[in-house]
Amino acid sequence: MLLISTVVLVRKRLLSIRYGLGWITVSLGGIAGAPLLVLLSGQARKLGFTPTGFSLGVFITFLGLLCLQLSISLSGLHNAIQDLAEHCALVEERVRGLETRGEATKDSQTVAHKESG
Amino acid sequence: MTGSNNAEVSPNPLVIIPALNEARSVSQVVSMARSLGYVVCVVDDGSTDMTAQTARSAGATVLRLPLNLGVGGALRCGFRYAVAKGYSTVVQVDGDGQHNPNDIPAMLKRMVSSDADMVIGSRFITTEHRYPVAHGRRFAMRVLAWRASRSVRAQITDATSGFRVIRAPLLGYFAADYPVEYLGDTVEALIAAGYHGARVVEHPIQMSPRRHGDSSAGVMAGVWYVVRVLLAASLMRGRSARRTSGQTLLGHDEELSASPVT
Repeated sequence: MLLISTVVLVRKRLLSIRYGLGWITVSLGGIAGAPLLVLLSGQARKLGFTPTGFSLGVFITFLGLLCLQLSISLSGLHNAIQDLAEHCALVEERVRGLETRGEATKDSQTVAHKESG
Repeated sequence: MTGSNNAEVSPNPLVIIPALNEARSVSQVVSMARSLGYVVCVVDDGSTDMTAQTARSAGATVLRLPLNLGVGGALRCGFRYAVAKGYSTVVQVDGDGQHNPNDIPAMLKRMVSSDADMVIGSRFITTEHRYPVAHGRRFAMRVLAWRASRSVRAQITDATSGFRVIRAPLLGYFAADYPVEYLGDTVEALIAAGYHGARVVEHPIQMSPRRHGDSSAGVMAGVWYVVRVLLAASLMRGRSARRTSGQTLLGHDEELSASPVT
């Protein structure tokens, strides 16, 4: 289900290829890991976990790690947006200054040209 | 860190005013600061009113952020501009008219006499002029002042004051990495200054009541603010420096600094 959804979302450009590849890896890992989980559930029972509880525990831990990774990505993007916004403001002010200076030079050249003409 | 090697203050500090929808008050603050001979830079933090236009007509340089970054982001932008333009001292003033620019000369003098890296305009350092604050809020301010005092190893009475004088090299550190992630930039900046070994002193000021708009701080918001700032402060210890474009921006800004300080 996850695999199909990922492919569809990537094709519709709702999910970038970078994250799409990540989710495809997760889906394939889930498919490959399911038999392993069944094998491990016997060991888990010895530790006092039910097979369902053990599977859920693994799943929740995985989701937690995934959220952490996405938070790291989001923090990076947040920093980048803040830097870009500040950069934009500084560049806008610089362009405004250059335009003002350019207009002043143009005016003085026009006056000088008229006087010499 | 004790300011610059000599105790001189830049003869022409830059006054930075972060402003969000302050069209009704910002021009008066700009005019007052300019009448004292200071160059003023208003950082318009994504305002939806005429803040930028009003500030520009009053004679300020205006940096317009395309989106709202919060006070911390606006200040960092102002600090970057100051460093790019070669200023070694900046004065941070609120745009809502609560701070009186006439206090700036005395704060600059205080910076020189105490060889400080940062001077905070404090509402609570003397009992002469009582600034009215609700009990809950005052308690929160005391907790934050205690935390800031621990960091800077000096008595701080008004850690949330946004009226400050900052000079190099602390200004350079702030331009590269000012706390912008939370609303608690005033307190976190003090804690960051403490980590850099900066010398921080206070100077008594009088603060006027808000002319326009309401303070957004309620009781629960105040409690959450204190908890969040204290948590953030504990997370700040040992944090590595920013790896991203802070350096890049400053590097680019060196080009900008080729133009003379106006």
